[in-house]
Amino acid sequence: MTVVRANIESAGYKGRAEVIRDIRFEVGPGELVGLIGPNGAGKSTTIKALLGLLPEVKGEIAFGGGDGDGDGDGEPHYAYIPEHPVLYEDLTLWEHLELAASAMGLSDADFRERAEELLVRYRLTEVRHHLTSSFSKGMQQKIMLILGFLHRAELYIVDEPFIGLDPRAIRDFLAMLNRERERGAGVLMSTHVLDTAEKICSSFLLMSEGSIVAQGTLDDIRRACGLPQASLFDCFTALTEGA
Amino acid sequence: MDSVGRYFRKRLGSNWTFQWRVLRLVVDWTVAVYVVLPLAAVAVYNYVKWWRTPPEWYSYVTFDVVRAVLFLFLLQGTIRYFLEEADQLHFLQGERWAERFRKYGAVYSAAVDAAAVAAVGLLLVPVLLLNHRLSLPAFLLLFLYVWLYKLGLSLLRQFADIRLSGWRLYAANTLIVAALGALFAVTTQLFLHSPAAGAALCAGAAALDLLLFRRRLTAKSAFLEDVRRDGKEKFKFVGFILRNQVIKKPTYPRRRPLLFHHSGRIFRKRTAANVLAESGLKGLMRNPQQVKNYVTITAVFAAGSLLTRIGANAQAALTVIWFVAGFVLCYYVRLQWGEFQENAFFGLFSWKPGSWYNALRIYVFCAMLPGFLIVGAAVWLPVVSAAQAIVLLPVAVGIAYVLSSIYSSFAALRMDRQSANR
Repeated sequence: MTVVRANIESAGYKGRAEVIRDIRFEVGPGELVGLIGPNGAGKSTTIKALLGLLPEVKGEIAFGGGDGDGDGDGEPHYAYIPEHPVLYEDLTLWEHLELAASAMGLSDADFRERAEELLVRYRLTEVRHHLTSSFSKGMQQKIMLILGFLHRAELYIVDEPFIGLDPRAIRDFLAMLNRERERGAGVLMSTHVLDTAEKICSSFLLMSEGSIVAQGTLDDIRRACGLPQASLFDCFTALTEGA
Repeated sequence: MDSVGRYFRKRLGSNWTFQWRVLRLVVDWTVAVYVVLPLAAVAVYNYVKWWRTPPEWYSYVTFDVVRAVLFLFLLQGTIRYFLEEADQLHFLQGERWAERFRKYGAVYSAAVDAAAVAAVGLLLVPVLLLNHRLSLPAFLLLFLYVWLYKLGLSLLRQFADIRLSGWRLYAANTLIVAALGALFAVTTQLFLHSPAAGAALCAGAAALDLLLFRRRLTAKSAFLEDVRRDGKEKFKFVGFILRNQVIKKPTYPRRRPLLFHHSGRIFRKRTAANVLAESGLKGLMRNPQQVKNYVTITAVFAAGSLLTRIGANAQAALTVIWFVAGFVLCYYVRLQWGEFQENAFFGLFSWKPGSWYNALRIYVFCAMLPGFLIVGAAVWLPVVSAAQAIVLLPVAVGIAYVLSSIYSSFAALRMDRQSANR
């Protein structure tokens, strides 16, 4: 049973069809997979391939179970939390949440209950009727987290979530992530914050120059780089500089 | 020249290069040869002719009209310091450096303003010297005064810009323009009769300008506002050229919107289409520029209908104008919908098939309806009784629904084709 299984031979953009090659991994229920690698390694391209945003993809991506119908309808039930906030300047925070809820098909009662809970958790209740253009970068990033957690997805695809968040927001985000994992959701998280990733991720995909150079648990990664007691940071340095 | 001066000269050079490139976008050699040069020749020919024989329409250009035009001219532009955001890296290290850079900018801006005032003065020479019989010293003093007044007005508005924001800034600007407008009207009258009084006014204005300049150059916490203002001035010309091509990002000094203050709902039923349409309508209503354009279109058609009635009372022709107004309003609100739909936020979610099309229909109908009814009132109220008007109201709403549905169907087809070709 997996929430996503990727078997990508190659993927990329027009004129650069092979930005990433031989990307094979699975995310199981309750698993948090850290997607790590230096700048330009292909992490964002991998995420775009999963989201179906790339024009050139060779291979197969199956959501919700190995045969693509693990949840009964074969539709991908994922939530994507982007690195940079994307918001509509003319709408208030609450109106953004209403729009997201309408796209997700949430009932009004469910939406209100979920939205109120998330606004309290991220301390944005007081500003719910403010235009998002008046928010700081960190507050806008919190909105992206709230939008991501608004419906209970099977898979969370999270791109660099820690940028711009204050320590309390990071703590709340990690707590939410844990709660969702306990519920059975899988998480694929791209990040450069390796010491946090080392503590929270159940397994890793270490990418360099468009390919996976190591994958598995921290012990698997240590074995791959031949450093038995090393930190994730040391393994990252050894594998990416040696690649 | 010292390093600040060199740096300023380089900044000025890059600014001129930028403006030149923008100008070349519009005026290539064909436009220059076939449009600009012939127009310039005609203008010079007429100008020389006005010197020899003043045209009859000069009698309509009273001194009050000249002063009003001059005051409008005073309101244009500002004093630039040619600052950029990256300058804070240097400026934070030395206040004297910053002050000198600003001083160069202010002196350059004052010189440019002087040239602009001289050009306007030259243009008005025939009117003022031949028509209003102003003496040459009075004329020269008047334009010296205009130049000094322009500098002072710009500086005062900058002080308000630095210290205030939102409605306070708006109120302060209105007050400054109203008070200085009245003062300008009173003081310029003196130049007609007493050049000595004009000279005294010039001396007073110069002293005041010097004081304002000194305070302005040492004003604290003005850097970011200066950068913003300079950026706005730099892109003024290119912004004008590309006004229909660039999607303007709205700037909101307010935290809460004026309309739907508590994120209130327009539609009770919360389907995806309804919520999308509601968001589009709120976006339209909260954008002052879009509201202004909508009101202008409605006002033009309503006023046009009323004026046409004076010439020829043909109800059939007016009804056609009403329908045309309906389609124009549909077209305008659909343009705003296009901008709304392009926002990256909507790409975060997968929408059910048909949601966007249904939302477009609801949005176009709701958005065009108020304008359509107002133009309808201008067309029908002069010829029907109050009771008939009440009966006609639901009919007008029905017609609006049919027009907007027809338009939305075609617009959706076109949008589908564009998406397919992308």
